[in-house]
Amino acid sequence: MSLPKFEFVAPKTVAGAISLQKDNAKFIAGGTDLLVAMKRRISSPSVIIDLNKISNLKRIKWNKKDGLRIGPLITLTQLKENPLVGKHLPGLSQIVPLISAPQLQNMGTIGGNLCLDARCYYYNQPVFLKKKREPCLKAGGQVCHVVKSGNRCHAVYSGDMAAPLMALGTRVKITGYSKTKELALRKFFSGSGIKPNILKSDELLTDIIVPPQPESSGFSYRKLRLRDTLDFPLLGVAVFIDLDEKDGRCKDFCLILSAVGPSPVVVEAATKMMRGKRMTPKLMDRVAREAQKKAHPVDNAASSPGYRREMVRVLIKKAIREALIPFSKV
Amino acid sequence: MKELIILTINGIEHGVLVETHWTLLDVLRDKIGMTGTKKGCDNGECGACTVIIDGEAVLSCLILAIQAQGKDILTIEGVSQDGKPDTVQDAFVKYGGIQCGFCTPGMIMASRALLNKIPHPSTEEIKRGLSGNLCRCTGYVKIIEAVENASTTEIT
Repeated sequence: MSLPKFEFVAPKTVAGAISLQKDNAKFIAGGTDLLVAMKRRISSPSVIIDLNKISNLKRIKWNKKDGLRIGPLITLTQLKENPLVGKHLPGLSQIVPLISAPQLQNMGTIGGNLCLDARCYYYNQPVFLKKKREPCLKAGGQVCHVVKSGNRCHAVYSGDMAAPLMALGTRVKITGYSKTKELALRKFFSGSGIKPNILKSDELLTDIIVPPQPESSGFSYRKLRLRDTLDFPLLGVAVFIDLDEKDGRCKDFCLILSAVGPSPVVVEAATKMMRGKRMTPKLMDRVAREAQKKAHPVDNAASSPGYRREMVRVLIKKAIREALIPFSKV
Repeated sequence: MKELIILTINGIEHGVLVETHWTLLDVLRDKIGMTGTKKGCDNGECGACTVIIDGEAVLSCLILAIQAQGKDILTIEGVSQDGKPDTVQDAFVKYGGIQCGFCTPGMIMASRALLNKIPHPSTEEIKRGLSGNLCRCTGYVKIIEAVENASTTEIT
């Protein structure tokens, strides 16, 4: 299917890109999500603002205080191969192979992955297949065709980078027309399937800041999908553990679930249950059961909600064990 | 309105008049006449349209032609040297990594990009490297054998 017509601009600065933003214009980074949506006529922007000429957005820097500052236009492959990331946050580079296939890793960007639109089996069909039904909530209508009598949009945030970056305490910088702001990545998501993040149309995600990690910490991201490649997550689980090396008690714990709703879910209860405790299989099981209550998958992805919900427990336990691997060598 | 752009394809500069909404794949096939690069799903899922841009395998169906200006584009037509097939092409023929042939250009470009980065990949690395390319004749075993063989015969 060919693309709809649009005007194309490629500014060289962030300010230039923001000033070009007008009604119905879209920013393009890797294009792997937007161009597909446009081919299916799900999105038809009148102007495309290409961010790839903005060299400021393509840098990775490290300093001891702030940690890694990653430009949003860094491709997933660059993230995987970057020596600074490999040295200071090897866990982050190891996530990249879990995302899609090599060609899309070479094109897709970390910022684009965070700004990914929420997906739904109904909504993401080509427009011509949906003609006979009234528009769903995400398309500006009043109904949800997935959850009958549902009055909110259940489209799933399906990016892979958000959960692990949230677990690592990442902050993001947003640059707007007149001001910039910095906030925790967990506040970046809106909770709505209609528009999963809080970015306004004239705002850009301009920095991803991952703080330095304590040496005594472990980290893992596990993903459920039908094939071992290419698929969007049917469920994602990110775990961060900071252990007291002397007594093996948990100093800090963070558990994030993704692809079970319109936004990644921070399981606060898990942090409370784990802090100050030793990791025992029984405790892990209790935490996994508690977290399961937070997952509300609906029938809008490639496998059944029941299966995805059941797998929440399984993946959490796997992720915790994986995050504990660095400590088993001590 | 059409715009004149210059695309560097296989080392040769081509001036082409393009609409902003044309993909690199469509321009390669329909405007320049290089039909070696195949159009499969046109949605970024099958890998048939894989080309190598600035050393990385990418999908030409999800790149606007206008975005490919100033970049070094390598297509299947530019893989052979002086009329002699590339080692990967040779290996695909020798090991029967081809059935209907539709996925082959994409498979070869993805394999080429993989071997340029990892000259001697493990079987697992080859599977990962080709995981974005679909073959509907179900010929993966021979394709993987071909890439393994190309990696051992290649002088690096």
